[in-house]
Amino acid sequence: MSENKELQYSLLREAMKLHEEQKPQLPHGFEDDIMQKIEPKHHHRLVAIFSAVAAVAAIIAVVILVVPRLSTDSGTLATADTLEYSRPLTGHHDADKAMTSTASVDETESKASEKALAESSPAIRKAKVKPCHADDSSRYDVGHAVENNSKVVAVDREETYSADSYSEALSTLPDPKTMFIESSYDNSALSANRDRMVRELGLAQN
Amino acid sequence: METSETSIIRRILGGEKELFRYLVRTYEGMVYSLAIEVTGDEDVARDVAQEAFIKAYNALEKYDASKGRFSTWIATIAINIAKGKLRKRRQKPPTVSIDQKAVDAVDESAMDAFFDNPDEANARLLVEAIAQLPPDDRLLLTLFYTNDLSLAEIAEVTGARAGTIATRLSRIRKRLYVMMKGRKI
Repeated sequence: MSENKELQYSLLREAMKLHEEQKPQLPHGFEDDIMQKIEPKHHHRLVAIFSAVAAVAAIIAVVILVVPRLSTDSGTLATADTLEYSRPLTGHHDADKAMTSTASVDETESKASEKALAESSPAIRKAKVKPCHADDSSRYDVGHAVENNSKVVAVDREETYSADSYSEALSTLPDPKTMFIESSYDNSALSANRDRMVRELGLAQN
Repeated sequence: METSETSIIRRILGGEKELFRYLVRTYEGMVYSLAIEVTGDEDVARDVAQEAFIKAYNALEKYDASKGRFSTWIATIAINIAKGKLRKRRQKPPTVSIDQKAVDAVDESAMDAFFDNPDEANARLLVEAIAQLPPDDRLLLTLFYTNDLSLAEIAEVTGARAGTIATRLSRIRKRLYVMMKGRKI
């Protein structure tokens, strides 16, 4: 049956009208009851906005306060015994090759540099420096790591690597930074130079 | 094009809470009436109406004027709340025994002629017959004949298809006609 025909039942319409009139009416004050129980919409919006701002602030606080500590704990500031030697260069083909070659450097030399590190001042150990070797491939890799904004910078005992140049490199890197210290045949010279670098770069305060 | 009602709703959403009073005033009668049809209890119906308006206000952001009239939306909310209260109370609607064979055998042209003739006496008798119908049937009659919702809108409110609603309305009229004939009209 079509909707138009449905609309023609005037008797039924009249009866429904009477049926409706027999129903009780809403008590006086119904409108006011409703209006008293609702809050302005902008109030809800303000609450929502403040909640969102508070949530964002909380997230930022967590990022600022907690994440650096977690990163430090997980070894981003690498220690000699917690980081793989080639970790800062991961993903760089040439660097990988170079580091493989670096890793094959004489073990005696490596042990000497680590011993020098172990003998260094508590401030230097706190800076979590990592020894590496003063051969060309290592220097090449460290340079690439800096270029790629890795959390790595290298210092060595050579006068050509001034504290200023590394300080500038460090300033472009995100915290926390890992400092590579190139080893030398002269461990005492390395130790003295590293001590100076760490002090001048402010890493001892990290 | 924005109707005055959608404009009011937009302003309410913008913080003009007092304008919601207009919507309450416009639809409180319809909402209460539907709640009474479903629950059969005026106190429960009042609670239903109040809950429906508060729920509608709190969810006003979700109302989409392009999908239907506000009346359809608020009716859907109210009916769902009312049916929820019925379920909680495990209240069974009263049943009316009607001879199904007599309903099936109704002469439709005679029935059409009967319903097309607005006679006051018959209208009063018909009101008594309507009162004996199950709540769901009275609800359909109220939505269609009192609130002027289309078959499509009733389908949206009740969750049934429009064709099913048309069939049910036809059956309800036949039942009413059989009930009226039983009175020797």
